[in-house]
Amino acid sequence: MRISPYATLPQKVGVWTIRLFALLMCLYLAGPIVVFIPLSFSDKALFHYPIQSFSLRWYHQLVTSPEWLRAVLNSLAVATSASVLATILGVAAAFGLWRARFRGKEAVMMVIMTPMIVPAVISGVSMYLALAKVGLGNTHLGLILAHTALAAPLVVITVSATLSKFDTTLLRAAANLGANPLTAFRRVCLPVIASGVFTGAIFAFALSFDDVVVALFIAGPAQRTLPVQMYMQANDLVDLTITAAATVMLVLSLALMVGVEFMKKREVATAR
Amino acid sequence: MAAPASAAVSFGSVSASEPHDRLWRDLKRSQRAAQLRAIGLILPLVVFLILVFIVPIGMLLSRSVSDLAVPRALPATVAALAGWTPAKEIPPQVYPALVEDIGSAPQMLFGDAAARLETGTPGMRALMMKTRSRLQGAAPSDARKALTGISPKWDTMEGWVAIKQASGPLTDHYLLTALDLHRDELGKVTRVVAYERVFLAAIGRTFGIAFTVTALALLLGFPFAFLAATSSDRVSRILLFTVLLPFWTAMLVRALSWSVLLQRTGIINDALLRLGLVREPLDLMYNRFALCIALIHIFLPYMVLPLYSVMKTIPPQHMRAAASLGARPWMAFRRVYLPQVVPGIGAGALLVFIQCLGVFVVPALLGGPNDQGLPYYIAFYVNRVLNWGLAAALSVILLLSVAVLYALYVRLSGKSAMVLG
Amino acid sequence: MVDLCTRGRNRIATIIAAFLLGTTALAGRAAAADLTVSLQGGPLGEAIKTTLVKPFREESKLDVVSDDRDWGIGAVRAKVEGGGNTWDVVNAEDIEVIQGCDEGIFAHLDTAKISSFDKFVIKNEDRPCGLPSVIYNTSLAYNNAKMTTKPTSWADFWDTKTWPGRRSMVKSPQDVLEIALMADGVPRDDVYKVLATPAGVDRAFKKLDELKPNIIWWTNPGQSRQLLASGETVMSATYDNGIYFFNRTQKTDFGTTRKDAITHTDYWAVLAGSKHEAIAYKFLNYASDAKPAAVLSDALAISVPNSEAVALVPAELRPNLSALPSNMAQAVRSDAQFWVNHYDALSKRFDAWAAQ
Repeated sequence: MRISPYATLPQKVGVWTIRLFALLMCLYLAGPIVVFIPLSFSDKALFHYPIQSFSLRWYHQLVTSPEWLRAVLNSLAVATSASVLATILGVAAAFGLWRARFRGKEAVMMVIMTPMIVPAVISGVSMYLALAKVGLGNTHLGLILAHTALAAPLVVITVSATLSKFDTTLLRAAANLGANPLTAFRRVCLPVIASGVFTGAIFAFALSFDDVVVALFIAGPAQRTLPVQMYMQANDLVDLTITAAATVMLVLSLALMVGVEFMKKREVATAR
Repeated sequence: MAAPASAAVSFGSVSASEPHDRLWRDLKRSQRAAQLRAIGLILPLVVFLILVFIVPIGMLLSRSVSDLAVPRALPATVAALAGWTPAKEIPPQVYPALVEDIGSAPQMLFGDAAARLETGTPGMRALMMKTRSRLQGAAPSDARKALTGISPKWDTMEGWVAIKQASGPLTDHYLLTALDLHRDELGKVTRVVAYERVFLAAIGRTFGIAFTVTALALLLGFPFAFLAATSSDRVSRILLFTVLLPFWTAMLVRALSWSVLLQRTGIINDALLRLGLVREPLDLMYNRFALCIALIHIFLPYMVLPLYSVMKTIPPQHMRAAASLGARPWMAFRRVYLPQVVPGIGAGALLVFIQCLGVFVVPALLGGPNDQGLPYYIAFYVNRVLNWGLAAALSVILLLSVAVLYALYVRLSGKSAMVLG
Repeated sequence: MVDLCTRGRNRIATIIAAFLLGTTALAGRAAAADLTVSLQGGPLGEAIKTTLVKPFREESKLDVVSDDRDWGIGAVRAKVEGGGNTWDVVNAEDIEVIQGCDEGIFAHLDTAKISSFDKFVIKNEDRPCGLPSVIYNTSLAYNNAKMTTKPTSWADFWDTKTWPGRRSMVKSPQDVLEIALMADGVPRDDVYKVLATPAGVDRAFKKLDELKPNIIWWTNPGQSRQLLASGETVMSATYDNGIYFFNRTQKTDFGTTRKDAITHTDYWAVLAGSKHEAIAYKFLNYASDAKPAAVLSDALAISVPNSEAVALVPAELRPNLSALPSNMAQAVRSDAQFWVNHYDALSKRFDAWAAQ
C-alpha cells in the first residue's frame, strides 16, 4: 500500500498501521517455524538460547540411533509406497470420473472425499480396529494402506483440476490416428496432465510424511514413523534429536512446496 | 468436467439428423464401451476406499450401539433374565444359568463381558472375576447358595440389573454415557453424579475453542487477505508465501515450534527475563492461551486463502464507484465490499472450525488438562481403558458435528472438497 | 516422454516390490526364531535387550530375538487376536499381568521350574501368570542443589510454605491418590483400605485440591526429571531408579525419600499357547539368576527380585535399591489388583477433576 504524496496525517498513520500489522503477521506466521533450527545445531543437551557452541551431534544421533534411524526409514518407505499407490488409484479414478457420465456420480464423489472430512482420530481408531481384525494392525502394509486411503482424494482433486482444462478432441484425434485408449491416454493425455499427477503425488507424500495421528494408532513400535517418534519424544527435553528431525522435516516440506509451485508454473506454461 | 457432456450432445444431434442407423448403433456401442472403461477406472479406488476406510468407520460407529459382549459370554444368564424386570423377584433359574455360563465361557470373552459390565456398574469386573475364580469350574448343586456365598451382592438386584442392562444386542448405554447420562436400576435416564460429568463439558470445550480460534483467525485473516489481494504483485507474493509456509509445514513441527517458544525455559521467557521485564518465568504453556495462539497460527492459511481468492475477484472499481457516489469509506466497505466477501468468510470460517473440532496433536502438546477436546477422549478410551463403545459414541458426536458443518460448507462454497484457493 | 514414463513406472514397481518383499522377509525372520521376547521401548526395554536377551542368545546358542510392543494389555491382545503372533515372553507391568491372566492371554507359570525363586524378595503371590522381573518405587524426588532442608514425607510435598515452587506428578489417578492420602495422614498400610471407600476417594481429591495450582502433570517419566533439572519444579513424585540413573548420566544431584514410597513390580509372562515354552523357562531362569540380573540392576539403577543380586552391584548403588529389605519396610506395595478393579471409574473422576 503506497502512500500518496497528498495523504493527510491520519491517512499516513493508517497506512503505517497497516504496514506494521502486515509485518507483525508475517512474523507471527513465519517466525515460529524456524525457531528450532538453531537449537538443532546446539552442542548442549538443553533447550537453551543463546547457543554457546555448535555441533552436528543431534543430526548424527538422528541417523545413528536405531530408534530414530528406523523412524526415518519407515517414514520414507511408507510415504513413498502410499504416495505411489494413491497416485495410481487416484489418477485412474480422476480420469474415469472425467470421462464417465452416470447417475450417482455425486455419491461416488462423496465416497472418494470422505477421508478428507473425517477427523484424523476417528480415521486412525477405525482403521486400527479394522486392520487388526485382518492381521494387518501394527504392520507396514496396514500403515501404507491407511495412508493411501487418506491421500488418494488429494490426487483425485489435483488431477481432476488439470483434466478439466484438457481438450478432449485431442484424445479423439489420437483415436482417429489409430491409437488404442491406453496408448492415447499415455501419449496424449498423460504428458499434458503430468503436472497435476506430480502435484497430487507430492501432496500424497507430504500427507503421509506429516501424519502423526493415524500412524499413532496403526503403527506398532517397529512401524513408528518420524512424526510418531517425534511426538513420543516431544516432552523429553534432554534429547534434542527432535529438533534435528523437525529441521529435516521442515526442509523436506519446503522442497515439496517448491516442487508444487514449480508444477503450477509449468502447468501455466503448457496451457499457453 | 463439462467437456465430455457437451461433446456427447453434439454427437447426438449429428446422428439424429443422419439416417444411417448402423453408424448410430456403432457410435452408441463405442460410447457405451468407453463409459464402461471409465467406470472401470473409478471402481478400484472406490472399492479400495470402501474396504479400507468406509467399512472401518462403520465398524467403529456400530460399536456405539452394539452390545454383544455379555450375550456372547453369558448366553444362558441373558436368556434366564429375558422376562425379568427389576420390579420383580430375582428369578431362581438365573443362578444355575450364571454358574453354567461361567463354567463354559472362554476366558477372553468372559473378560470382555466383565469389562463391559464394569462400564455400566463400577465393581462388576471385580465381582465377576472373583465369582469365576471361586467357582473354579465346579458345578455346585445349589447354585444360589454358592453364588451368594461368594458375594452377598448376588443376593441383591445390582449385579443382575447390570447384566440385564447389558444383555444387548443393541444398547443406548454408550451414547447416554457420552452425554453424561445413565440408566438407573429402574431403567430411567438420569444425569450421572456431578464429579463424573466429563463429556458435556468436553463437547462444550471443543466447540468453544473452535469458536474462539475461528473468530480470532477471521479478525487477523481478513485484513491480511485484504492486503494480499490489494497490494502490488511483489508484496502480495511475499504475504502469500508467509501464509503458505506454515501451511506446508507439518502440524507437529508447528506445535513443537510453539513449545520451544512458550516453555518456561523457552525463547519468549528467556527474552523477557533478560530484558528484566519479569523476574520469574511466565507460565505460557499448558493452557488455553498457548493452545489458541498455536491453533490460530496453524489454521490461519485456511482462513486467508479462501478470503484471498474471493477478494481477488472483486474489482477495485466497485469501491471507487461507491466513493464517487458519495459513500464514506466505512459505508462503501460495509454495503459494497463486505457482501461480496461473505462467501469467502463463510468458507474460511467453516474450514477453520471443522479442522479445530478434530485437532488432537496440538492440545496434547500445548494444552493443559482442561484444554482437551473430544479427540483426546476418543484416543484415551481406545488406548488406556479399552472402552471401544464409549470411544465410538464420542466419535458419533464428533463426526455428526463435522458432517453437518461440512454440508453447510458445500452449500456455501459450492465445492465438494475441502480445497483451498 | 513415454520412455521416461515407462522407465519411471518400472522403477516404482521395483521399489514397491522390494519393499513388500522386505517387510515379509522381516516377518518371516521373526517367525523362525527359537524365542521372541516382547519388550516396551524406552530405557528398560533397551537395557533388557543388551543385558539379558543378547547374553542369553550368545550363551544358549539359540536364535533369541526381541520385539518392541506398545503399552497396555490391548496391544498384546491385538497381536494374539490378529493371528500370526510370534511372541513367547513378555515383560509386563503389574496391571497387564493381572488382565492378561484373567483373559487367558498369559499362561500360568510353574515357579518350581525357576531355580532361584526361593531367593526372590517378592514372590508372585497372587500373580499366577507372572514372575517378578524388576522392582522400583514411586518416590519423592528433589533437587539437592536447590534446597537447604530436605523434604522427608508426602506431607512436605504439600508444604508450599517451607518449599515454595511447583511439584510434578504423573497425570493418572494411580499413585497420585495414594500419595494424597498419605500426605493427609493415612498410614501407608491403610491406604488401599481407605481408597476403597467413597469417603476415602473424596478425601484424596480434597487433599489434591490444596496442591492443584502447584502441580505440573507429567506424562512420561523423562519429563519429571527434566522439570527438576531446569528448576521448573522443586519436587517430583516419580520413579526412583530413573532419578538415580539421571544423576549418573547427567551429573545432577537429586535426592529421594524412601519413607512411604510406592513399590511397583514388573513381571515376566509367557503367552498361552507359546510353542517355545521350554526355551521360555530357560530364559526366565537366566533372567532371574543373580549374575545377569545384577547387570540389569546396575545398568538402570533398578532393583531385581533376586536378593543375591544386591551383593553384585556397585556399593554406591546398593542403598538406593527399592528391593532392599530396609527400604521395602518403609514403602507400600502398589495394589495393582485395586487398580484393575477401580481404574475406569477413578480415572474418569480424575479427568473431570483435572479439567476443572
